[in-house]
Amino acid sequence: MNYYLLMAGKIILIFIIAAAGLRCLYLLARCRKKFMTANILHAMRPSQVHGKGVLFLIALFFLFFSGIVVSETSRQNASLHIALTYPEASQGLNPNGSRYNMSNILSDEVLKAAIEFGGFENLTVDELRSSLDLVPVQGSAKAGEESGELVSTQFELTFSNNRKTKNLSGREVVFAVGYAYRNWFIGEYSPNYDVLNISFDDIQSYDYPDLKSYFSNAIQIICNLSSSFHQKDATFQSPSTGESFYSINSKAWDINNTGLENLSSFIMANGLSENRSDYLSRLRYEYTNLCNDYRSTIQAYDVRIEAVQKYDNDMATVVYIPTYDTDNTFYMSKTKIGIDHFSADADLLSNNASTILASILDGRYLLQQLEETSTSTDSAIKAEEMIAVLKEEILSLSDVLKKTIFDYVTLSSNGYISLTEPANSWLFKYGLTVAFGAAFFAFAYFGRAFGRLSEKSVERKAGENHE
Amino acid sequence: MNDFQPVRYLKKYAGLIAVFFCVLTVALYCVLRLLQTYTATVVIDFAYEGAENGIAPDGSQLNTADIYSSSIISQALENLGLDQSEYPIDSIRSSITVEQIADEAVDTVNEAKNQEGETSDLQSTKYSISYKVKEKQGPETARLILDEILDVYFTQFSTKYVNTSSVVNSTSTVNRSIYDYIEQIELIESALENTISSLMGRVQSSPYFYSSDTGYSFNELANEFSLLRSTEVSSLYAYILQHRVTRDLDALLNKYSERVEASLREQEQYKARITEVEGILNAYVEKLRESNNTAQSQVIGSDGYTLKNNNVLGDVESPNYSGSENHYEAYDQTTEYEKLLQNWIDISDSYNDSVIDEGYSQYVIDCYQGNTEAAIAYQESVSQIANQSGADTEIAVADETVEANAVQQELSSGIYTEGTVPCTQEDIDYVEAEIDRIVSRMNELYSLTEKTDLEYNEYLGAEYIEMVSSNRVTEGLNLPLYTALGAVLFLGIGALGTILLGRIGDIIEYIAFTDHQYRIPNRIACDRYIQKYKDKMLPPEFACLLIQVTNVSELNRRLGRKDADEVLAYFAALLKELISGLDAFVGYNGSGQFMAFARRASGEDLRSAVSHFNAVLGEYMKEKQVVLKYSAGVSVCSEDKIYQIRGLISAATKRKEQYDVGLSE
Repeated sequence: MNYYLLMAGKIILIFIIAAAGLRCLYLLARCRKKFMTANILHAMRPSQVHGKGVLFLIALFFLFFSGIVVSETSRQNASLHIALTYPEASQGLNPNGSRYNMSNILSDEVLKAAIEFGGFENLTVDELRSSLDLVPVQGSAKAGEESGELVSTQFELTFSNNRKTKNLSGREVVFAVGYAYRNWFIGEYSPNYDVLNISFDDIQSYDYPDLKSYFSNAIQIICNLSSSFHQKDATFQSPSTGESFYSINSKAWDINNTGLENLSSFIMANGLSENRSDYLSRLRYEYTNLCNDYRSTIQAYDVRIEAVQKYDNDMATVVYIPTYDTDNTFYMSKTKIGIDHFSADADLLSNNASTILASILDGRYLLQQLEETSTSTDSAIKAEEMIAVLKEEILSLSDVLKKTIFDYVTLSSNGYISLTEPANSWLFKYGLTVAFGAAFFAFAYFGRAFGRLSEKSVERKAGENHE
Repeated sequence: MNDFQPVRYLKKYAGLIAVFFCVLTVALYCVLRLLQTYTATVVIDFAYEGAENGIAPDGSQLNTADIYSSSIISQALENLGLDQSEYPIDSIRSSITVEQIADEAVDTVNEAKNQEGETSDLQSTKYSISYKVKEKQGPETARLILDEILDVYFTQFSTKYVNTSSVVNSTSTVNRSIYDYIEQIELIESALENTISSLMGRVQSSPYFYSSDTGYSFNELANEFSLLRSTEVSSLYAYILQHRVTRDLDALLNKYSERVEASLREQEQYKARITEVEGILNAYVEKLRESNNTAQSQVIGSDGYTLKNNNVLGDVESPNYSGSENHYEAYDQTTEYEKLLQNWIDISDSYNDSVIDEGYSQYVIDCYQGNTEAAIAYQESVSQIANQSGADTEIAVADETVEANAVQQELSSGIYTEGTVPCTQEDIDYVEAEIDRIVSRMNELYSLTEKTDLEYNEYLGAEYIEMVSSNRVTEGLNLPLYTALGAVLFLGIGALGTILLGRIGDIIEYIAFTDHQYRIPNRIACDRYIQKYKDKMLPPEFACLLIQVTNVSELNRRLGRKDADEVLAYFAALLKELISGLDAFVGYNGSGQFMAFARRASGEDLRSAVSHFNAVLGEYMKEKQVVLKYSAGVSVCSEDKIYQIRGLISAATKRKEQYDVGLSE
């Protein structure tokens, strides 16, 4: 029903009740002035009141009218329960582990989406917000009540129509906000695996020797993501793909250790490069850089070794302390002195130097291969075939992982958010309607009784004058 | 005066009490509404190791006052789009309270340890955070602001205590700077190295964290940066060196020459510093040795034997307690000797790095000057380090002769390219375009990193601080309860007031409207009664009785004034008594006239009453031996068909009959 029509209905309803009540009071006051209480009480007897049937019919009509107004008002005011159904909700967390904030339900972004979703024209976010109220179902306490230690996972969203929201249906509004919030929430906090949309569009910009890193990154995406979900649920097996996160992870490593290694070995063995001169130049630069890094690291290592040697014998005394180790067996611990720290640093530097050296040796080998070989058409064709196969394997596995994650999210989150309507208070609605009808009937009945008494007084006066 | 009858007053003023009660109750409700406050409360738990000692994750002292620091509130208001003039920061700060919640488990541990003589000062890690607002701001505002403050605090907690290394995009506009191309690419290279290092640190801390917003983990981001660095940045660096691409060759050469010179000066400085520190170290140990204060000093005894004097204490000193109150606090235990050695290491590292930087700067100069032999020689000399590692001894070239041969081989093979191609405009355009592309790609990756890092901080905050309860809003005043109490109070006050006023009314009635001689309403009261019913239509059973004592003067003369008054008083009392059963008003209208109005009486009732009255009075007057003359008239609405009080009085006056009672002497 149109907001203004309903408002007019409410005003008419209140006006009629008020007018009937005031008229009744006015007539009573007038009677009190002219009649004794006994006369008034006598006049209120049903036998003294005429036209009760008509009054009853009018009251029935009024009951019907007030029923429509109350029912429409109730329709324009609605509530919705928004419940969080994912496992982390009871800890007050979002699915991504960040803190849950219920105020987001009424955020600009959500309400804007709700307006679009519900097709509520000419309505601003602030206007919509002004008609909405949000409380945790178990979250509000009266003064003096214990709030307790409970993380709420259910919230009640209430819509009360006002001048700004005009003739919107309350039920439509709360559901629009609920759906908009659910969509926003899922988009914001559900696992985002867009990273699996591996396109390989830019593969042409990489020279053959770079493809190892390029494909390795793609395979790492699958490995890391599957490991991440494996941590959450090691036993999950997708009903649609039949895969577990562990099996997908293993397959990704297989691709890395076989397909990618084969391609990499083939490229290195055949010295494949699209622009040999530029690539050699780059390799030399990288090689020089790596050698400088290695030099810096190994010199730092030497410095620490020298520091250990320099540590004076007289300062290097330690005390041995018998203790237990993690296996609960005797272990001889000792106090730490500077050489322990220097030695640990030296070990770390040695480890770093070793890693750099491995890169240096790889670079040197590739340099030698590029210098000694030339790219043949056959080897390039074969490399392209291997690349195509590798791409296919990676894309196929990423699709499997996507479906598996989708299944996991669907089954574990229960849809993240459930929306339910609270039970309506029919008693209140019908009780209010009946109360309006009864009030109207009472005012009309007594008004008629008092009016009749006044008429009698006029008749008597006329009789006296006549005598 | 009337008897004290509280119920009568209450009945009489019931309407007034009701109005008084309603008005004051509504007023109380309105006042309470104005005084109402709403308090949003959240309970959090600092759930990480060390929190029970009041320590933050980084080992510093945890300060919970940070929760309502101005920076956090300012950020929260900004996030909510609230105006600080409407919500002053200090006003919000003063409305926030952070209280530690007692934890029985912690108290039990403290008590048990203290009983055993151990010092234990563990604290509860649970805190209640409340924010109070006034009625006009409403409960939603309290909830909204506290929620946002906590969101911001969780994020800032992470950045302050946990995820302290930052990933900063320092090269977002490097392509528009005045730096030369090789400097730009060096800055990019350095930024990438730092970023990858920071990201790898995050990978180690949270290898399974994935951003819901970007879909990236730090591992993927680090891989993306690494790929960019190892392919595009390296290629461009090599291209710049190969083509000697520069904006200003002279300026570049001067700068790198200066860098070489600076490195040489630094090396001199470091060399001197190393020698000095070594001298300090030797002097330090020597002095300790001479004073027998090393850990195990050699002591030559009086018998000539050498003994070892062990200076290590038998007991272990409790290392991490300091201060008078035994607060747990980790502090540095490193001795001066080890600090000296660490200093020596740091200076030696700096010296070595300076040597490497000097060589590299000279290499860049050689490339730009086209001094290919020197550049190749540098590369060969650098590669010797790797060769000397023993990994590939076959190609190890140690002496200068072999190195010179290698240079010649490189030059003759045509493979060597650095500094061999003169710079052209096409090269400059290409390099600028490539730098733009790399910076653009870096900006994209940094944007992703920033979003991922923001979510990571939110995640870390929630990992270190657990929610114990949701945001709950409590009303400061229980409006229904206080209103009900007020209503009861007002009802009581109203009733008591009514009784008091009623009694005062009785007193006034007695003073102003009662004839003190005859103890019945006086003339004014009669007038007031008539006035009251003047305009009312009287009921049919309303009746009027008028009695006029006609020989008052004679009575006074014969009995004396006192006795005559006594007779009239008896007259009045008798009249009142006989009429009272008819719900009647009896008053003395002066000059010997008595009036009575009965609300429910017939003419017969009154006439019977008058007859009875006459008989009783007659007996009395006989005792007094005096004649009392009076006239009495009765009128009734239904009989006289008169429904106005004045008409009724007139009718009664007209119907007066004369009565003489008593005996004459």
